[in-house]
Amino acid sequence: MTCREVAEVLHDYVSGELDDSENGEIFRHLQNCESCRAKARQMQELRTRIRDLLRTPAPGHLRARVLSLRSE
Amino acid sequence: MKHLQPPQRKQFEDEVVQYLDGLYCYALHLTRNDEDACDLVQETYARAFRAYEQYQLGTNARAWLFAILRNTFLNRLRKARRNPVRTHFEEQEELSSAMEPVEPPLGTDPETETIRDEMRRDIRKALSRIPESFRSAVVLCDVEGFSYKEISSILGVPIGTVRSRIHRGRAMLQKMLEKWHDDMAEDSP
Ligand SMILES: [Zn+2]
Repeated sequence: MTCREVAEVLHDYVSGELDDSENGEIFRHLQNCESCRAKARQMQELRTRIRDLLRTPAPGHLRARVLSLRSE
Repeated sequence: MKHLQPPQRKQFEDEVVQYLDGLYCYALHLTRNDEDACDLVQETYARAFRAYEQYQLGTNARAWLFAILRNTFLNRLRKARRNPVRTHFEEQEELSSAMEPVEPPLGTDPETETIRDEMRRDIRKALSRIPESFRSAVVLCDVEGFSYKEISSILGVPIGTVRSRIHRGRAMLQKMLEKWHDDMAEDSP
């Protein structure tokens, strides 16, 4: 795979949307290509940060209201 | 279509309540304030509980709820546009078009704010500045961990569109969050 081909599917790789053989090809490319590896790491980090930093639990009063909407 | 009987109804209600935190979090990204987010989530559950007869066990309840929440949000947005009174929703859509890099708000003392809080604030602000269709795709993928296929059903667009929105949405975020690139590359958990 060329760097250009990798660039086209790197987002999908990071999202976990590729099949095993595609994942293998990207993985092998990343092992040998520092610039694509840096790009992949940055994307992965953005994804991790977004997930870890932005999780906000629902406030207690909302939970109570939602529970009260259930049938008895 | 088979109607759910009481024990199944209870099972259905217990299942959908589990997704409360995720729905609230997504609602915050859509409305950008706690009051509207709580309202939106409450209406989503009221609709879901009313629609339980259309729901069939075994279907993807989580994706179904997120779709209800987003449709409810878009309906409110349309109503707000017809209403001459300005609302949070309208202001939000105007802000979404801005694309300049994120600057710290005036009056923030960087010394008293931890790096984590600062990064969280910047990511939140950057997300709020990208158009809703991109923001939804990125949040549903990166925060909620939905697959492209599930996101396609929630947003009602083809998978190819989901894919390109995620690519472009992440690229917009990366551009706005340039100042964090070094931290993101080095300080991995
Ligand atoms: Zn490469």
